[in-house]
Amino acid sequence: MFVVIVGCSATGYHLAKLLLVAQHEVVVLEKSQARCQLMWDELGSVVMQGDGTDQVDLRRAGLTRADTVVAVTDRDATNLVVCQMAKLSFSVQRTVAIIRDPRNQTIFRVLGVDSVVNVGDLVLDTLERTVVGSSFNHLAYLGVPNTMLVSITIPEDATIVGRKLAEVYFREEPSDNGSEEEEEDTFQGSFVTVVVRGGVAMEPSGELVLEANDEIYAVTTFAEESHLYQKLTGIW
Amino acid sequence: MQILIYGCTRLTDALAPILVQDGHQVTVLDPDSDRLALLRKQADVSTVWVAEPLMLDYLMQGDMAGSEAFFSLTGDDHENILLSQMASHIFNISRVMCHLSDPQLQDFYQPLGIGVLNGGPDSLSAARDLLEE
Repeated sequence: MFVVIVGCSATGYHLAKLLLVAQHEVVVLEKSQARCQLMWDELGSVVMQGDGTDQVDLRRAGLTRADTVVAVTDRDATNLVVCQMAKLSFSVQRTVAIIRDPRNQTIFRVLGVDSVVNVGDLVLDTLERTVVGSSFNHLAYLGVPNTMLVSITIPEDATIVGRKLAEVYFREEPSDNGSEEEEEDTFQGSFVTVVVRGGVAMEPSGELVLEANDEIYAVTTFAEESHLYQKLTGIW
Repeated sequence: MQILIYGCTRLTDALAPILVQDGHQVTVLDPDSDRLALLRKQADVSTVWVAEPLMLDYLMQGDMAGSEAFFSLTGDDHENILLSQMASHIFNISRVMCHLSDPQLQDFYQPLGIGVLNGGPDSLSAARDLLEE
């Protein structure tokens, strides 16, 4: 694949290295002459001095035959211009931009940028997790729409402590004759992928008895996340 | 007409007083309070002193949605492009003008439905044409 990266900051530099190792063809377009000098020593001739919002420089970088353009300058507005030019002037198949301000996500999507990597939100999520140490963390948004990987730590007073993992998925409803009948719950897109206890990762079988402070890693959806959280940490 | 201008630059100094004379209500946003004070001496405009990162919140929740025309006149072409496209595509403001000093960017964005002001002598008439449409 031929990838043109616009902006050779830390992000652009590391991305270029990764792609080169993976045997892709790469051109990095960087505006600052001084930065280019430094990067020539590291990356060699794939670094090209030029303005990623200048059509002449983009053509020189080979945009007419690029498969993908990645805009990773440190300014959201500039990344937008790069992607719009790549798409409309050079018909590049796939445009990717990073944005630092989460509020810009909508306009990038509306204007046809194919992939928007929301660096701001990723950093904020991580910082929140580090600073606050929340018991419910969003770890990754999967390629599937509305689907994500979360981790949940089970508190000591949760109802689920001492019960089998399978009970997370089932609702117990007392029937008329006093015995308890198990019925399938409403989870459609959520399931536990791994349970970590005392630094050991365990495969989640339905028979696994959960303990306090177990870390549950689960796939869930926007619709079901609060229900899953309630089931694993709440009293029911 | 309610006109929202983002950026208090020389172009703003030139345009805003004339738009006020034409009978429009003009609001100008900028992070520089001194420039806003100077503009208020020249013309009867409302000014809002607001800086990043609150600027975008202000635009999105406040005046942008209620404006009939939006002018992005900062000295930064890329910023103007981002904000004017936000005004037109997200807030559906039909009259949007964008100051671009780079001729190449002017050529590129003119056909995309954004009114381009080049900052030259015909900027005023271009702005008036847009408001009269």
